[in-house]
Amino acid sequence: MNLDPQQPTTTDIPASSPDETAGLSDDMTSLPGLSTWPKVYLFVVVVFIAYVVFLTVLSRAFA
Amino acid sequence: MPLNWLDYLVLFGTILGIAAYGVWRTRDRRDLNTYLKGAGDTNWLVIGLSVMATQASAITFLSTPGQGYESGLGFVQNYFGAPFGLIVISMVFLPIYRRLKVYTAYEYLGQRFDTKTRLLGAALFLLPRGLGAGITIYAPAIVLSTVMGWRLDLTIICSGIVAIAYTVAGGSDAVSHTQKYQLGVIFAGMAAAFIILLSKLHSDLSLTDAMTVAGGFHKLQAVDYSVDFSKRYTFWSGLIGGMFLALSYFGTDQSQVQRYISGPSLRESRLGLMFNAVCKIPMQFFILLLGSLLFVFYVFQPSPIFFNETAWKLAVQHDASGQLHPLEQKFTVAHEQQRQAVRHWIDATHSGNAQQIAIAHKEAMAAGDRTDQIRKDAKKALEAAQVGKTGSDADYVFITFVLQQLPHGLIGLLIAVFFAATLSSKAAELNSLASTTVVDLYRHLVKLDAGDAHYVAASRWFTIFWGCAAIAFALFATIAENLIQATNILGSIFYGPVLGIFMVAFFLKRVGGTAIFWAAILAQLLIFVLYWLYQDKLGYLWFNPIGCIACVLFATALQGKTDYYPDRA
Repeated sequence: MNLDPQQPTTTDIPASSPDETAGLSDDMTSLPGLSTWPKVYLFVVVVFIAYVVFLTVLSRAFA
Repeated sequence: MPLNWLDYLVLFGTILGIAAYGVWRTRDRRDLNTYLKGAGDTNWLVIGLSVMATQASAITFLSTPGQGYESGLGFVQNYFGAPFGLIVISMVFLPIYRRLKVYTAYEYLGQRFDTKTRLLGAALFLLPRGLGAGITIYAPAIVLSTVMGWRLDLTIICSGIVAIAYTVAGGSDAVSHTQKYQLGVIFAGMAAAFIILLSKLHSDLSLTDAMTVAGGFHKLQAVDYSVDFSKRYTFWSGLIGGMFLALSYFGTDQSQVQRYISGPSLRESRLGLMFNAVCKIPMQFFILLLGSLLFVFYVFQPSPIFFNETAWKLAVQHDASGQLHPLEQKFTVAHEQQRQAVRHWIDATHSGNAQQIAIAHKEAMAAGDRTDQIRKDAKKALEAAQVGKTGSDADYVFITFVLQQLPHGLIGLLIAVFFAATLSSKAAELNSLASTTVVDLYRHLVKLDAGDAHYVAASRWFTIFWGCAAIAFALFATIAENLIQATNILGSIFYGPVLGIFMVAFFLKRVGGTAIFWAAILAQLLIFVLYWLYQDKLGYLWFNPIGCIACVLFATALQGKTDYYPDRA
């Protein structure tokens, strides 16, 4: 199920070879709110920053 | 507390049940592609768990809590570069591996450069990974055999044979599918141990008080922003050195590459890697926090002077100098004084009087320093007594807690955790060692045009060969470092130049095989020399970027000197 209205649904994809279809489906992450890979990578970086902030606060709070 | 029938039932039921499932699930794997890469039906979660389980050996679960107990949370910085390394692998490495449909990462080097570079890449993988497979099996065996009273050689041989059996039978698919359940056992066991530790701590003090004690003894210093190259773990060494380590380990080490190239699509493999990018740091944090809280637990509960109690008792029996028993008595008194001083400090924190808190904290720290000094004296006396292999005492902290504080059944589950972790990483290592030997050496140099059945049979024999080599290495090994650090140090010595080869392959198209071949050898020699000269002055994570950058610079310089052009195979 495609949860992102910006992305084409599988019925929008013209008939193509298996390799081409695989390439198109590989570009879509199928993750809600994180439809493209750059968005996924940005999410990972934001989560990392959140971890570091948490660990820094923990270090300072109990120093 | 010795294991009873319930513990043995849980232990053997879990370990042998998962291994048998792996054999049954993959009973029809016959062709080489399926044997080495799997059936291509693994989803992103299985890939992600498989990548995680391959990295998380028994060393992670035995030794990391000890690292937290001894040095606090600082080791978590080792993993700060991992998310960035995994993003780069997902963007650059993975699409290339999948497009070329390679079995091993080194096959790509053969296509990009030439045969000798491919063989060098394979050799730089096989040598440290072959040794690493020995450490993977030896490390938990030495700890478990010591505390359980099992024979070390039998522990090594039995765990080695189980891993060999299902890896030989089912290949890559068996490894992935068993890792899923092994990791389930690991998470369940570690969560149970954490909850029991918290409940036992609660009888003496609140969680906030426990965190205050841990913090007061510098066990919660997770991030160090200082720029000091001699420190092993800082934010910068973790971010930069850790990123290079992660790039090398996840991007070029076949034990990991084999886990994620087996995915049915690029999407599934990428999601599996991103799962690890998000989960790795919190996982390590919780294991280290467990160790830090164990420190607090053993401030309030009776603590042995030496956690490897078997070695201590043996030394006391043969103590010609007569200094061990008095040290033990001195420690008991000092430990009680420390407990009272810390209790006094905690009571002071509740009063809110800053001056009173500062004085009580100072007294608690001084009492802690006294017990530490007695422990150091005991370790020296123990080494002088020469009772055989003792290793790092920190590695025995968690297993001591498990055996003395957990109820029966859960003890069996936690021992199963250590064996499950051993088997999961060991099987992945054997699978990758056999794949590389067959694909990059045997099929390329010895038997060029045989059928799939022949190469699958060869893969099985090489799995057995590497398994036996690892067992043999483990039987003769001795490791003085904390185990988790020993593994990372070994990797950091070899990974930099290997990563350099791949970086040149991906990004410097004009560099050819001859230039990169000699550049990698020079870079590896440089790392050997630097490690020999500066191992105490330079944190080991820095060897990763130095090796990689040296390899890239040497390759560029050599290419410029000889003016070679890419001599692609």
